[in-house]
Amino acid sequence: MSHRAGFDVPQTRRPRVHVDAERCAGCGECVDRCPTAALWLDATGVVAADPALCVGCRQCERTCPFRAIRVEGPLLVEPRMAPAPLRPVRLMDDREAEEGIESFGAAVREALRCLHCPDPTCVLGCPAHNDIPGFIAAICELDLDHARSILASSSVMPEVCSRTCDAFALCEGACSLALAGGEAVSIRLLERFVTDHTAAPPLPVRSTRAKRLSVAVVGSGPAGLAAAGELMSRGAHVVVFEREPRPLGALRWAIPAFVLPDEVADLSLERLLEAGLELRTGIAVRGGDIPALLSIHDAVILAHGATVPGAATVSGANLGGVETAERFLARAKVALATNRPLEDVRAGARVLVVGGGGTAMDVARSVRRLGGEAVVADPRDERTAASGREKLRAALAEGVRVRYETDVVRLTGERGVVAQAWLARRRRLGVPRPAPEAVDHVVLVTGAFVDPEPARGLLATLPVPLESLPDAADWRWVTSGLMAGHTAAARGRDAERILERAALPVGAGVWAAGDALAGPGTVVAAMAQGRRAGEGVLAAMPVRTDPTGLRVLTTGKEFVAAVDED
Amino acid sequence: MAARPDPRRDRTVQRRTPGDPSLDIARFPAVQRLLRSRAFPLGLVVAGQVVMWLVVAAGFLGAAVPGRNFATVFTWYFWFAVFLLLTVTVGRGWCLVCPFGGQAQWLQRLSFTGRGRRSLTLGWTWPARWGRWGLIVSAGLFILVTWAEEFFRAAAPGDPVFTAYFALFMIALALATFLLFERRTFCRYLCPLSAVVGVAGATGVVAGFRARNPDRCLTCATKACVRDAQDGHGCPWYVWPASAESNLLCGLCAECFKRCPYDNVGLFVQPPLTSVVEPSHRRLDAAWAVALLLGLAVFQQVNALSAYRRLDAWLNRTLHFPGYPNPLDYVGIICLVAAVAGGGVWLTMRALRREGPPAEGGSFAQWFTPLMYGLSPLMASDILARQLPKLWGHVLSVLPAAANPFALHRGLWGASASPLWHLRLVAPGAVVPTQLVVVGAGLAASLYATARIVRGELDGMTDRPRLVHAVSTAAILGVGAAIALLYLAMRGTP
Ligand SMILES: Cc1cc2nc3c(=O)[nH]c(=O)nc-3n(C[C@H](O)[C@H](O)[C@H](O)COP(=O)(O)OP(=O)(O)OC[C@H]3O[C@@H](n4cnc5c(N)ncnc54)[C@H](O)[C@@H]3O)c2cc1C
Ligand code: SF4
Ligand code: SF4
Ligand code: SF4
Ligand code: SF4
Repeated sequence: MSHRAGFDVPQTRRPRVHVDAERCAGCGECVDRCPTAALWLDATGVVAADPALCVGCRQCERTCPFRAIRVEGPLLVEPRMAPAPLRPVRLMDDREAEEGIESFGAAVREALRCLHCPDPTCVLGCPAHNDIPGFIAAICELDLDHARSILASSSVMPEVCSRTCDAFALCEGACSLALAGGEAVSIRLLERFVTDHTAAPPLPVRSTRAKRLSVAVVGSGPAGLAAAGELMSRGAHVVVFEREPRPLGALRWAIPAFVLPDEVADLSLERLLEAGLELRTGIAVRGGDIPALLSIHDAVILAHGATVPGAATVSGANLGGVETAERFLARAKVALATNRPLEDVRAGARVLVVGGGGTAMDVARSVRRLGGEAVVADPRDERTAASGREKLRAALAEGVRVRYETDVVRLTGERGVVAQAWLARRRRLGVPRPAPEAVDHVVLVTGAFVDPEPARGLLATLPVPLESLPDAADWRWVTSGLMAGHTAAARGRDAERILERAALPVGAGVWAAGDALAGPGTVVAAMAQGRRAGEGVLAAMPVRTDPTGLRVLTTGKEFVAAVDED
Repeated sequence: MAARPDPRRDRTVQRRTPGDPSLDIARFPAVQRLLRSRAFPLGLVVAGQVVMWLVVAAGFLGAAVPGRNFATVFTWYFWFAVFLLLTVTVGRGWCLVCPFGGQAQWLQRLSFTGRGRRSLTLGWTWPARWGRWGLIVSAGLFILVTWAEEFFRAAAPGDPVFTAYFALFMIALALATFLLFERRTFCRYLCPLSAVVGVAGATGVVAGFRARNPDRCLTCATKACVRDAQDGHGCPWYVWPASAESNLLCGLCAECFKRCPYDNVGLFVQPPLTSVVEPSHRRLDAAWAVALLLGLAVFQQVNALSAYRRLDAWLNRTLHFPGYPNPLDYVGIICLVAAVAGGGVWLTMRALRREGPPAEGGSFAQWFTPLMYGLSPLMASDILARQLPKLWGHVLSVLPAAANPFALHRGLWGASASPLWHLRLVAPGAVVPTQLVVVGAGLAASLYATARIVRGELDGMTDRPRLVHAVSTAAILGVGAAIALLYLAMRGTP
């Protein structure tokens, strides 16, 4: 089972397992979870341990319902590979910044760190529930194609997720090694390595159960595409309506090319188009259109994202030289792609990014490539900042400066153009004292909201508030021991609640997924929800509501063929 | 490593105790409804609370007339004897009603019914090396409390204020432990009553909650019965229904019954003495607890003898100790009895165990533990018999005392003039015979249990099983006879 080399560690530096025999009830939970089979139940039904096999991962300790087992000493795993190297910033260069793992050998070495936990918590941390130990085992067996097909079974875009995920807060945050106080397996980079070095398999066809189903999907972002992929793999016909001329949602207009190159983002769409997806761009679906769609299709999935930028509240936001992150990112992306510098953000321009999080980092890093100086004013403190560890590391390496606990009180300008920003550092005691700082351009991260229009007239308002979701008792979380105060658990379980919601309709014949369902989130969560919504449709097998009983065929030839069969 | 089974697939190594379905009383719909209801055991705990706070209030506020005040009348004439009776017949029945643990658990869980997962506790784990001796700690505290009770004359003739302090002490100890430690650490490792309930309760007919089909548990992915989760609590006593095999530690709270998603938990009854004879997981601390509690029971008999009175008075004079009982003779007698028990077993073992490597003939613990289990019915009967004079003489006064708990001048329905104050259940002359009957029953139970234990567990460690059998029978007869003689000598002293 194990791909792990034998450990040649002096006895004194080995982990030690202490079993409280008086307390151990012999339930075997720890035995089931020990990745190295170091535990078993002795003749009296109490747990015994073989210290020579223990690697100190503490999964036993985490899962014992009675705290009857305790592990002391070091975690016996090789050190984690160094973070992926970053390409240095060059003017007007939007090539992908992060480089992948440089060699197969390095990938295998990292893959060998994985314990292949029998109850892998990393899978719980991953919103898509990718079979992480499975694909990592395939890397260990040098079978990258198998690794790729394992990923494809749960994810329509592993090449995207492995570039956009803040893995530190997802799978890697929930990796047993991290939970034991060590460094997680570099799951994201391994996933990227697999997708970089294998051709994507065609969309798996699992059955033709749903060959009579026709589904309309609103929005071509990760949620919409994942829903389409799930439905099509069961034989359903899917039409995706996209408001913009170019598909892919935030993957296209928001996430910079140096994070996610367009040609990578395109891969999953191409795969779906090859499998027969019908894509209609330039069509904006409105609330009033849903009944019409439902007369042509059996179900509608709303995956129109959170695309309405929030209002800027800082005074002076209407000055020239101040814009929202969405607008700036879209402009910057085009500018970098076409190699035409922006007029207002030129070399040496002092750009202030107001607000924190991943979007602020994307803006600031774009500014650096356009030649400007970027300062991010983040109201949160360093520990709670939401930038994501990898994004922050890249931004800092590229010369972005971040000021934490800093509010922008107002913007002032000369002749209608912004010239100063008044920054105030938050203070525990006393009144913050704003001080002016000269700026040439300001980008406001205002957050994004769900356009209520397409969901008008439905049962549920979108996005559905998290508080309204039942706190489903999911025993996988409880028994993994993750619930015992790990932050990865809190995040993961919220993601799980939304996932469960995605399987349920939000109105008669209508499902929702992605940012439209849950508010601004992540690519992987949107994708997972899209898939779950597809599953929900497949489980419900709704029938279209066309009163005349006629099937109005507006769709592609596969669907015609499917109908012809009956 | 020696060959061992694949732990993931082969679980036959694990002990399993499939419950006999005919003994599962939870299969009756009415019982099932009761156990499912959140009113169980809440109602019982509430009833316990009412009485406990009445005892505290009466103790502090009522007239200091021990024979009339509810605190003393209830606690020492009624409660302790009934508590023991309940224990030897049922098992841990008391823990269902127990107001100390019950109330502390409400606070710890911030809930009366046990729903929800909020908790108010630091959740410390009881240290493993003390856990092994938990029942000795508990028995030790019981011995300490009993000493205080004797010293302050709380029970005889009786002191309402001390009785109230005794209740407050228990409340405070329970609260502090529940707020510091997880689950029912207090009940399992500290409570002064726990050892008595546990070891004396082994004769009882309630086996506790157990898995109906332990094989189902092996594949159960939830282990909901033992895990704290968002919607409730796992077994507060650290018992897993699938591996429980004696009633020693099941608090009967029905938590596992309510939580098992597969309806795989039943409430089992058992023939009397089953938990004495059958457990294969015997605890050394339980064995020592039996020996120490037997010592306590013997002390409470010896203390009625004039020879003891003289010794105690002499010691107090010599050591300038204010009064009976002198800690030296108190602890001395208890430890002497325990040491005699231990020494007797040790000598027997040395003389009769099979020669050869120690694994063959067994260790001291392997001889001592089962034999002390066998002695536990006799020990329990001794403690119970000691309470009979008070019970027979005064138990009926509980009724007027309840009607006039503060021992006011008149009281409800003229309670202060009630004839029940003076009515006895058993005539003075018949007290000793009832004591002898109880001890006789305990003796018979011990003889039967020990015979079976010796046959099942000691036969394999000796070449002369008949002799072991004869020696153990003779020893138990000897202890029984000594206890009976002491009762005759005491002539029904309360
Ligand atoms: C700047 C920025 C950076 C980000 N960086 C990351 C990152 O690094 N990692 C990460 O995990 N996540 C990141 N995200 C978040 C992530 O992109 C989104 O959570 C994810 O794309 C949501 O997917 P979706 O399919 O729900 O919606 P979207 O991707 O927003 O797609 C919705 C699609 O629906 C279309 N649409 C809208 N209304 C209609 C209509 N009425 N009719 C038809 N079509 C319509 C839109 O045009 C759009 O194409 C980032 C977001 C932003 C804004
Ligand atoms: S620490 Fe990990 S390897 Fe060691 S016994 Fe526990 S589960 Fe097994
Ligand atoms: S999980 Fe705990 S109680 Fe269960 S077998 Fe392991 S040590 Fe014993
Ligand atoms: S990635 Fe981490 S949690 Fe997942 S199987 Fe490997 S070691 Fe276990
Ligand atoms: S929850 Fe039920 S089936 Fe699962 S281990 Fe407990 S008693 Fe057995």
